[in-house]
Amino acid sequence: MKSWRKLFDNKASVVCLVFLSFWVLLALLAPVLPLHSPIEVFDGQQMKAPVWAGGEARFPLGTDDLGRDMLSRLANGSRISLGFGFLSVVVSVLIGGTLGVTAGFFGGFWDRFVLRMVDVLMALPSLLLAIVVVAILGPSLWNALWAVTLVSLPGFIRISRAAVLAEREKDYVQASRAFGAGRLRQMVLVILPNCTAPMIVQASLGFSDGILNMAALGFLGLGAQAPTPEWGAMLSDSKAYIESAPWLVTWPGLCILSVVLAFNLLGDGLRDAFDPKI
Amino acid sequence: MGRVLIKRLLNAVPTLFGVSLVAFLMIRLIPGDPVLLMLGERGGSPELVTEMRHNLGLDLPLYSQYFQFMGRALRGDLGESIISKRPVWNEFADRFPATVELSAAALLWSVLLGIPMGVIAAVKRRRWPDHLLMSASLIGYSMPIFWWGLILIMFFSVRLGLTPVSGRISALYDVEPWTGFYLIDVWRRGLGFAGFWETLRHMFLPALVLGTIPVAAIARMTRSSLLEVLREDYVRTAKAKGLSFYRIVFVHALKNALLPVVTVIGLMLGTLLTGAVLTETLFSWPGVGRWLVASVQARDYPVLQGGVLLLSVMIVLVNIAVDIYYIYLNPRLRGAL
Repeated sequence: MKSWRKLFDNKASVVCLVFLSFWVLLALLAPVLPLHSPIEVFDGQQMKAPVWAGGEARFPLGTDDLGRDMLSRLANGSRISLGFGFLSVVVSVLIGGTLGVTAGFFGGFWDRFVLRMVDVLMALPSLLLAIVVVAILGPSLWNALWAVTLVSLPGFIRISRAAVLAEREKDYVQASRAFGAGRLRQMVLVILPNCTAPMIVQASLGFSDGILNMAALGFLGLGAQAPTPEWGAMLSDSKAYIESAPWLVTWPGLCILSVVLAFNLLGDGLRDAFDPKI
Repeated sequence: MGRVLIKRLLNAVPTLFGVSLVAFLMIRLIPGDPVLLMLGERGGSPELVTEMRHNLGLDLPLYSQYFQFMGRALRGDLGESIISKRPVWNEFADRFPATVELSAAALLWSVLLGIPMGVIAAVKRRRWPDHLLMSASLIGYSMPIFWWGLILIMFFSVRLGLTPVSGRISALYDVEPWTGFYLIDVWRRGLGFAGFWETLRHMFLPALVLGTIPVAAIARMTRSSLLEVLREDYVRTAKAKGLSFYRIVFVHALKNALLPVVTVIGLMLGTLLTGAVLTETLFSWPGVGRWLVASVQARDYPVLQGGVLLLSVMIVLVNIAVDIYYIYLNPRLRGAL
């Protein structure tokens, strides 16, 4: 628990946690907040500027090219980015963690096989691999999720495998073996709790990668499809209005950047707190 | 040297096999009939469907399909694009120099800026230059580069009118590809400095965008690596000898500190060569990345299959080259050669 205290002593990490809690709260509450619908089109209200640039109070952050409320689209977009980022991390931890832990624990053929798979996955740059998956499954939000998850697997596999390898031969594991602990017990109850630190760091970084890649796929038109208010897709839709309505371009990008930045900074803080070596 | 090279290449064989399997299975994993999907709204007569199925080798049993695919690929035959009807290899060769030129420009500025940034941050550790540079690189590292590109277009092209928004060179200049690198080809066409400048202006924003994440990664790596080296015994010895701090940093420590940076740069090379997907799409840069995205959207599966195979093989080879260069640079490992 000393590590957690160290994390909370780090100002930057605390700021990130507060900031991200705000986003999570917004994402959870978006449906009950007094906002317009993110897909409701207001006729004759296209491309209204934000309220401080001469817009109306009805649309505090302006409206997009079709006359949809930007504030509502951004708030609902956070549900997609954070929600799917979360799902991607959970699935990666489960699948990547299982593969990595078993590979590290059992070694031998299984270990070599898993490592080869990782090599193959890493031979393709992440975004290209995600594009390949989307090409196979067809462009949609859920398929983009599988793509992004697959791309993040190698990191989780390697981290968990390395952690297990470091712990496997330690005395306490041998002691548990001597007391007759079965393999499953050794793996899950004895070793795994001591491997959580690197996994937590990786999860934080995985969040930022996942959100970035989901947005990139959305931007390329291979992720969320219209009229879903996804930040990347919103950016791509507003490309043409860069001159006439720059706020359409500014907001979604700032949302992506701020969330990704917060997760990266938090990841750094977590690493400092959990890993005294670095 | 030769022995290490052969060992690395042999080690890469299973990976290359896996990669080829991925490229091969890609088309075959698509739910439904890929031929009908590819024809899509374009439609096609039953004869055309049969012919395409035959051309893609989809009418054979799976294992002989794979051997056919690999046999052709090894002879440089990656099939034909459905859209342009040209060999995938030629399509690739046309676009690859554009990607290399852009990646090289991006890598060049990110190395030239990233390493000094890291050195300054390490030397001024925990003082304001360190905080400033590391905050900047963390932001760069977290940047959604497709948005960053849009913002830069907004500023440089729209507001200031300094740079063009897309393409490699304006249509006024009719550059006939020779090497494919426009910075060279313009001279051969007698376009002289004006053409060269025109090419540079087109390259400025895409290269800036593409180099943003590498510059951040290089700066962070240089800083942490240099800090680690500065704790070594030989640095203490140098200090005890009375050498000045800057002499220690630049003459003794930096050379060793840059070793891990070389690895980072090498890993990035692969990502740059293909990862230019977003940048190329944003700036309509006629390179490999944009080509592959377009092929996904057009369901041009032979292009996607061939492109993926070529790029992943290239990345595996680049990684081997980096490994070997690293061994060559690191005297402690030279025994392995």
